[in-house]
Amino acid sequence: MSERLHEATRGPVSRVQIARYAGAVNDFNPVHVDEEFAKRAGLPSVIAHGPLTVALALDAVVEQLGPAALRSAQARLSAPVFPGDELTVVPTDDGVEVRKADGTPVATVALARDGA
Amino acid sequence: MPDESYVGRQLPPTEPYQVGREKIREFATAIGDDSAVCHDLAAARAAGHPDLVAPPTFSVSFTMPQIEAFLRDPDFGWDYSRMVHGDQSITLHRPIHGGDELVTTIHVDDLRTRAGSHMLTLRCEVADNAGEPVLTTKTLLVTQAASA
Repeated sequence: MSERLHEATRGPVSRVQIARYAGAVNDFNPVHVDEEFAKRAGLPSVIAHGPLTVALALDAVVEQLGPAALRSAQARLSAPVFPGDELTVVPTDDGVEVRKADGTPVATVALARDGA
Repeated sequence: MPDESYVGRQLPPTEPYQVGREKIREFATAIGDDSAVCHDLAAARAAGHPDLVAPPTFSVSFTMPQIEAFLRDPDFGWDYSRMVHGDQSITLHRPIHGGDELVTTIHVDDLRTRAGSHMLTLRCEVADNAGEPVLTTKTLLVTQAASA
């Protein structure tokens, strides 16, 4: 399916978007919304919810394939996403990889679509 | 220390969650999805959908609170405040639409402790009010094992 997908960008992820997503999914874990808590936990800042990264990747996919074509997605998260990160959604052999601007992979997503 | 005896258990099904149009719009806006089928009822119907179409990961908006309720149960013994998300998968048997009434059954598939972290795999089986499967999610949740 990779030949049907093209590279797309999402972000930069902002604290406002992280807060908005926290509200949408009712996940106010302080590591996502409380800067002081995140720093005490040893992080440079709050981090995006992992499912937000996956949502952004799949949004780039369904934007290209249509809203009902996606059958399954298996995501592996490999690095945290911080406010300010710009994400590139790059097609791979079996899905997409999400990378930061410096090339750091943050998620790999294997995809299956209707009829595949 | 999370209670390993939960592995293999299935929790009681939730009360039905009614998928609201405004919730679909709110979720779509949060992830920056401005597609017409998520926001505009007439456009969704013109495209052959019965109602607004939810983005693929919309189910997080009701399964995560259901999961959180379980994880905050002191009987299970999970440190929710330090939890992060690991691998996750979703299988969509059909798209979620506005007006769907969805029942979730959480299955505790796996729990292991490795390199100072507890790693929990929960599976959510989501069905509509006719009992037809709508989607299956698997979520790996990680929290630090208690230190010192």
